[in-house]
Amino acid sequence: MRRIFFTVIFILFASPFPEKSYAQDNFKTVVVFFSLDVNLPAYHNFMDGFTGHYSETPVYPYNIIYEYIDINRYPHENDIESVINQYKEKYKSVNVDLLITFGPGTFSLLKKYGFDAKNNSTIVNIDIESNILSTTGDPLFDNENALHISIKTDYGKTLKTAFELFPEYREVYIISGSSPADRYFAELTKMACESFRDSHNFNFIQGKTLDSTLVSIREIPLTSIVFLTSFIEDVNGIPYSTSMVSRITSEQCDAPLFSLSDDFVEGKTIGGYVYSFIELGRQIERIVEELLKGRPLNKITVDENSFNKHMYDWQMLKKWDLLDSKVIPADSEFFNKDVNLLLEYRWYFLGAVLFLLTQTILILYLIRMNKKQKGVAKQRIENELLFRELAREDRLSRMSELTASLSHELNQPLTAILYNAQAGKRFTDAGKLDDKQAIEIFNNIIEDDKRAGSLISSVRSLMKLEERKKERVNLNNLILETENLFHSESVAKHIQISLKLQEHPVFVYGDKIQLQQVILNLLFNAANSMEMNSSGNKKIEILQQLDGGDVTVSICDSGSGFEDSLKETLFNSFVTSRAKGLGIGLAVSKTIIESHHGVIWAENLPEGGAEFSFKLPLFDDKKR
Amino acid sequence: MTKNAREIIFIIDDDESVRRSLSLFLTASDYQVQPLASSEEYLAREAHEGTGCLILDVHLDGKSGLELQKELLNMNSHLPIVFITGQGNIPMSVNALKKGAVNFLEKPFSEDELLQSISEALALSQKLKTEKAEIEKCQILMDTLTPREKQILNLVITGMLNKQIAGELNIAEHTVKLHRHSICEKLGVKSVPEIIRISDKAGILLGK
Repeated sequence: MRRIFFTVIFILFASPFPEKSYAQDNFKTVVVFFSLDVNLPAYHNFMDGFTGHYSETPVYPYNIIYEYIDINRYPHENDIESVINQYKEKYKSVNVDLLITFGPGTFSLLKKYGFDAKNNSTIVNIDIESNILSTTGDPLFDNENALHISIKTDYGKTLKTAFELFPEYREVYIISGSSPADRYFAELTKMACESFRDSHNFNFIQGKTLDSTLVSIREIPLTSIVFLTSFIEDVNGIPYSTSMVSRITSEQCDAPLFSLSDDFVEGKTIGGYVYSFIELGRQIERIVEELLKGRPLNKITVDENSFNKHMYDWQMLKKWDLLDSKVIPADSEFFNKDVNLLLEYRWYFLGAVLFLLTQTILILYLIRMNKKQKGVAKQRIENELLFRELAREDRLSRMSELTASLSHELNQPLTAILYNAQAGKRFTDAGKLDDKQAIEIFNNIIEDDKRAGSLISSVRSLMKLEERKKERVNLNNLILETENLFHSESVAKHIQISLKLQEHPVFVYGDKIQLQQVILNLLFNAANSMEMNSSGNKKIEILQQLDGGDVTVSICDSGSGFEDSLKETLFNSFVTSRAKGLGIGLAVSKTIIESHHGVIWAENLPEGGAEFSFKLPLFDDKKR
Repeated sequence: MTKNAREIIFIIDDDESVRRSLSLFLTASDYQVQPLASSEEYLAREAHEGTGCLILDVHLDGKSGLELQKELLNMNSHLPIVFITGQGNIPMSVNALKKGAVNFLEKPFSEDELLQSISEALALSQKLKTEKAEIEKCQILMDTLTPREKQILNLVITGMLNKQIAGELNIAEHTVKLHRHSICEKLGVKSVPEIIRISDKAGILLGK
């Protein structure tokens, strides 16, 4: 009955590896025998390390077959013999290139029950130190084909690391199972504890059932550390897995839980300086590769101490707030580490965001373009009307400023006409009017009347809104005329105006009145900017310069200049430094100059004051 | 009608046509005129000793009419001013009139306004000139007094008696009488009120 059961078990375990697969291909075959059962976390870690290198490539350079004797569950010699006999039968005709035995007594049991692969293949034996030591000198095991690697732990450092992580915790509870391996690890731990007797109080929980073990750790003091060495079997021989025991333990008590090896990965322990089965697996992988390549056994070197490493469970470190602890070296291995999604997939996120952004912008742009297209005609008309309105507003506001000056300007010729006439009358009354005097008086009257007339026509044309036709304009005359218009303003404000014009007349093509408005705007601005400096000289200089095919007119003042920050927006509508005034003068000027294919700009002068200039192309008959 | 050759009307306006027409008109009205374009031109010429007046534009290139007025007051010039302006305002005219301007005419002003203002100004000028001549005469008289006589005159005009003056100056009453007699002779007067009038004109302060 029992045999049938074993056979079923055997088939279940062995069936994933049909004989054909490794008999026919050229791959070499490595068989790993474990003494304990498949659920042992140490074995899993070992396998992870062992196949880690190749797990990313689809084809193995060699077949690996894992076999389990499971001596825990079937501890009777007969059962073990029966299992091993099954394996003897299985591997009778299989070419095994390398045999690995792993776990307490695996090597000895195989030898004892006469398992032998087809060729007297090389054996790598991994076992606890005492088992290996016990085989030394035994001719049955001590053959040239075997490499023995002992599991050398450094529990002293394991304990020390744990104590450093929790320096205030002085009560130490050490839980161990009752199997020979459990007892072996417990003994090693006990020995390691000796050097900490002075600083710590040790409590060994051993030789109990799992239940009573859990009961005894439930009431431990708050500042206690719990170590789980290994728990393969309880006192009644009931098998357990260490990781399961450590999980249950962590649920039962709130103390920091430590293990001696890296089987904590599933076990809710913190980690620490532990024996790493993963590292062991990695080293075995290296050894296997070297052996399969034909390197002789005696050339293989193994540093048995290198399997002890700092390894930690990230989540547990987080739980105990130890992530920043200086006890933990930076090159430690961390498990269950937080995956920062944003950090991990930042390029994907960035890409997606950029994509969406581009799409959004594109869509918005298209919508806008569409709207724009629809409204463009309407907009143009509105803009035109707005500009005309602004221009008119500007002119009107300029006019109100001008009115006072203009009345003065008009009063001058009117007064002159009156007194010329009166003088003529008086001379005539006295009978003293000679021809020369009469002609002088009449000439004066004619001149004064013309002057009054031109003033009125200037005002009228400034008030006109309709677009005038462009013509050939004598810029010199225009500047002089505008300066005349501005004259009384400059006198009232004590402003000295100097002109530096070209000797020969300079002609441009444009709207005389609009250009005059620009010059007038600039003159008013200059005058206003000097309003504050009552003490200093108030000067305006009008310069006319030729530059290739262009003429530049600059109006410099000795005023306060403008704020540098305004330079960009100066020519925008409603930008003004004055309380009165609409702030549209420069905007209108800019539009006028640009409609004349010119540019207008402003600069602060180093000696103070500002210079406003506009540049216009010279009149060219051939182009018209 | 013939005018005093030393009576000049200065026309100061930077507007050439206004200046020219006014000078033409005033010439036709038998005045002697001197047209000038700026305050600076007026200040540059030799001070006019005779009577006359200024027809002064408020807004001028350079020194304004109001500034010239202020300056002339400081120089103790006696020529009355008639202001003319193209764009005057009330505070400006009040200010100018307070400072002794004869009138403040806004262009275009009528010839009656102008001639009226000019005749007022010239009359004022004449009066100021007469007063000035009298003051000068008094000052000359005063200068004839000896220091001792001036000292006694100062005490006399405060109303002190001879006895009191003698006590004050620590001299004999008879000596005071002699000095008073001399003062009256030099000033050509006979009574104390007359002495006070001349002293006042000559600018001698009461007391010390």
